This record gives sequence, structure tokens and C-alpha cells, in this order.
Amino acid sequence: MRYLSPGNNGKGGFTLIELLITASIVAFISLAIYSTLDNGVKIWRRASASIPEEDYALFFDKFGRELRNTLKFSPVSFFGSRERLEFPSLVRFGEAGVDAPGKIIYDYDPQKGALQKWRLDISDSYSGREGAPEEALRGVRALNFRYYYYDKESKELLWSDDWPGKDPPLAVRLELEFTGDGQDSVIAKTVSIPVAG
Amino acid sequence: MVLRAPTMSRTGNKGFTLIEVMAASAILAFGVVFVYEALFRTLDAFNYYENYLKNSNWMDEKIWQAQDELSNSGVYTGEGSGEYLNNNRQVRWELACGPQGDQPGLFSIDLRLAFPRGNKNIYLSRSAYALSIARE
Repeated sequence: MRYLSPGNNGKGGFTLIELLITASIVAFISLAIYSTLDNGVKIWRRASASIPEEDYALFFDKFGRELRNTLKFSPVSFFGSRERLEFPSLVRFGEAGVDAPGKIIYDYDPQKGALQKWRLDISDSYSGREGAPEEALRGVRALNFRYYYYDKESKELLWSDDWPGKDPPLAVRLELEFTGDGQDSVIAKTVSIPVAG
Repeated sequence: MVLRAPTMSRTGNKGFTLIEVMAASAILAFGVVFVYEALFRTLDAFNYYENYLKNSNWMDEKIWQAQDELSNSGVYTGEGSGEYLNNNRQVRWELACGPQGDQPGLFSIDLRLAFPRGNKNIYLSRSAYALSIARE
């Protein structure tokens, strides 16, 4: 019994040509498999990479909704500075999603690079109990709230960095700087306030 | 022995015929093509979504500025078109605004973005109305 194929001359083993062909076929097939795998890994990486704009879009959506729901409400005044914003609004409490009037505070923490958020009901905002904040956004390098108002004396529309007033301004702009895709980006969102003016 | 492998029954030779192998590989090739087509479409949709996310906020801001200017002064003085760089990609934009219908003080704003992706252009557009208001 001989297991090796008998060669042309009756000797066992492969010829050089056979070996060369086999080696080239193996190389070709492994190249094809490798490139398919590599492509798949690249696609998977791309699809699972986080897009910072996605988080910002979601945050701006919520932020805009809260700010548009602000009201002229004497117990809670609208207060704003460069890195802090307090306003009365319709606040969603709990996971069940019960909406009630309350106060929302946004405050930027430069150490953590996070925008923190407090949701207070009326009694908490009266007593000044702030409680534990939640992180509304993280990975923020710098942040600036700006306030748009109509100056009655000069009859002009102006932007201010502070809003000590009781009533809401015409609009609030949030400008923030973040690092995404290895480069610094600036993103801004302006929300008009319907009850103002 | 009565039991025999089914392939042996026809010709007595072991194995598949050339036709069988060709038909099988053709079916396999079709399957692979459809799977790849599905994958490419998914990637295309994902790409569109990513570009949309990266540009939609800029569009919102542009629309807000045009709306603000139109509602306060009744004229849009900003530029009508331009270019900006987003993710190292040149994005061209065009903004057109004008009076809407016969209603005085009502304007419509159309913003259109275009940027190349591969060998075709991707377009994003957004429209809004603005109503001019008088301040005392």
C-alpha cells in the first residue's frame, strides 16, 4: 500500500511544480480571508465608535424642551451667568415621567469637565435644598451661556454674559467646546423663549 | 450489501458532477452578493446619519440667525452662500429667503447643504418660516 501518489518516475513525493502551485493557492486564499476579516473588523470598529455629536444632539433636544417650557413665575426667578443657569420650567420627575412645575439648574464643573443638572420641585427650590446632581453632559472642555435681550434704551438686540433679571431673556445660547475624533470642536445651540419679551 | 451511498447509484463514480458543483457555487455566489449588498446599504445609511448629526446643529443655528434677523428687521443681511469645514470635509451651503405668499411680514427660509461623499454629493436641506414683529 502506498499513500503518496506515485510520481512520473515511480518515485513517491510531490514535484516542484505541484508544490509551487499549492503554495501560491494557499497564499492567495489566506490573503483573501485576511482581507475580508480586516474589512469586517474595520466596519465593526466604525459602527461601534461613539459619535460625540449624538450625545450633544440628545442633550440639546432636552435642553431646548426645558427652556422653551420656561414661564414667568414669581417664586422662581430666571438667573444666568457664564457657567450657571437657573430657570423655572416644567420638570420631569422620576422614571415614570410625571411633569410638574419646578426649577432646573445647570452648572458647569471645570474639574470634572461635566455639565451638572439639578431638578427641583417647588418646595426644594424654596428651601434651597439642591440634593445630588446628575451629569447632563461630560467631556466638555469649556462652556458659556449667553443671553439675548432687547435693550429698550438703545433699541437694540444685544447679547449678554449674565442674566440677573427676574424674567427670562429672549433667547439663550449655549456654546461648548469638546474633543471629538481627536480634534477640538465647538458647538452652539440657541433656544428662543416664547414667553419672553 | 444492499445499502449504498446515493451518489454511487447513478454512475457508479463517487463525487459530484461538474454541473452540480457549478450550480452550487452559483447559488453561493448569489447569496454572498446579496449579503454584501445589504451590508453596503447599511453602511451608506449609517454614513448619512453620521453626516446628518454632524451638520444638523450648524443648520439649526443658521436657520435661527436668519429667522431672528428676518423677524426683527424684515431683511436678511447675511451671506446667501458659503463654505465651511466639517471633519476636514468642505461643506457648501446656500440660504435663500424671501416673502411667503401675499402675507406681509411672513418669510420663508430655505437652507441647503451639499458635500461630496465618494463620487456623489450628499444633500441636506431645511426650511423654516419667519414672521416679522414690531417692537415698541
